[in-house]
Amino acid sequence: MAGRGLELALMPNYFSDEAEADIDLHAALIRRAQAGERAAFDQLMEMHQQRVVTLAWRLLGTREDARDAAQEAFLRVFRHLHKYDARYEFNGWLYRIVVNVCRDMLRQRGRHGGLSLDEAAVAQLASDDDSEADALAAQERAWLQCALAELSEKERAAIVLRDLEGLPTEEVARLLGSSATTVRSQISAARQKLKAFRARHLKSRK
Amino acid sequence: MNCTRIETWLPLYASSDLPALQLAQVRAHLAQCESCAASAEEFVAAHEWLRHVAAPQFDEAFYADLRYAVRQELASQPVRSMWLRLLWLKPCAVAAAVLLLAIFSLRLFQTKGVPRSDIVKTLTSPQQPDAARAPMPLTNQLAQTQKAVMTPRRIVRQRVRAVPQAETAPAEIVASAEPAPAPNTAEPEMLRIEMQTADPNIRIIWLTPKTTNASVDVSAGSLTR
Repeated sequence: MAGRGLELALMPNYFSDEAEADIDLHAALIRRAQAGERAAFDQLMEMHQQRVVTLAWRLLGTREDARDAAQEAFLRVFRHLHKYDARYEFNGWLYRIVVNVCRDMLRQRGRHGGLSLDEAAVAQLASDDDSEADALAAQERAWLQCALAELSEKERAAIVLRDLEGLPTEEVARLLGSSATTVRSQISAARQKLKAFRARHLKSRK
Repeated sequence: MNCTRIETWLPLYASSDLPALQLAQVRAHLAQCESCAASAEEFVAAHEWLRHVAAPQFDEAFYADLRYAVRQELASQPVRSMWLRLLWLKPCAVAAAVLLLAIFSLRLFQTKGVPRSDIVKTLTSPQQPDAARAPMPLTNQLAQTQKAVMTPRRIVRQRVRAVPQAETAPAEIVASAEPAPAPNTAEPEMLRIEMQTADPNIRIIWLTPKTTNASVDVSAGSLTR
């Protein structure tokens, strides 16, 4: 039980609303997957697929890129699962892999931090949804991607993890392999740009 | 507190990322500065807009396709992944193997470090017949090399033991003035001087031609010529 206490003490509180039984189930799944059980790994994928795809979409901007990044991230999880230390939060470890995969993809495709979304794509995304509410939500998401596209790669990763994923600044710094001071600076610069983008966006609507 | 300083803090103020002291300074400034208060409201609104944009909803077919692709990829490289896992799981075994190889190589190098020509020279003296100079098997050479290394000490001890062991005093001249037996009468008569060192097994024997002016003071333990 002492080990269990240590494990819980080291975990950042991502799942404050989850029952302890779910945490036990999750830990057991990881142990089975580490032992090479493919069915357990499939279950892990199902549990985390939405989180992984959403983060990849926020960092890369398109559905196809998000799918490719999620696929590569899960492959890396499988290959390196034996190195995962169960005393630490699995989600933090997973986030780090997804962030690294997205960085690699951006560099390989020569985008240098820029997203591929433009205003025409925004209009297309908005028109793909059936209902008016869905269309508005899709348009907002598209504008969000346009706003994120104005940020540098590091600024975007910092603001996505801090504001959209809701992680503490210190945890964001750990995931990005940077200092908390640097991350605060990146977040500050990102918010300046987002504020300016939103002001332009609101002005163009009127 | 001036507005320029406060403006640098406003982006972090929007999400309460400022330390308590700076947060209090910003609040105090915003209470009396309309311009900065308006800017702060814009930061907060942008922050809230960002947070409340709903994440995209992907259907189950999208996720099923993703899981299928991952499974297919894993199935296509089972051997590679297994080898990689084995390599990563056994770093100590790999390190131990490298260490053993290094030790073995070092020992091999040390064994080969003794030149064979030196071994042959050591084992075959000029007085030996030609048959003794013939190359011998390596195992015999190695065995005799050990003997050769030990030989000087053994020879000294054997010679010393051949001398009567009556004297034990350290650095003592134990015999003198008696002529050594001369094998050849044509040669001059020799003086034999023996000295016993602190080590009872080591005795120094000095042979010198006997001359008329040579004298040995045995009682004083010194030799004068």
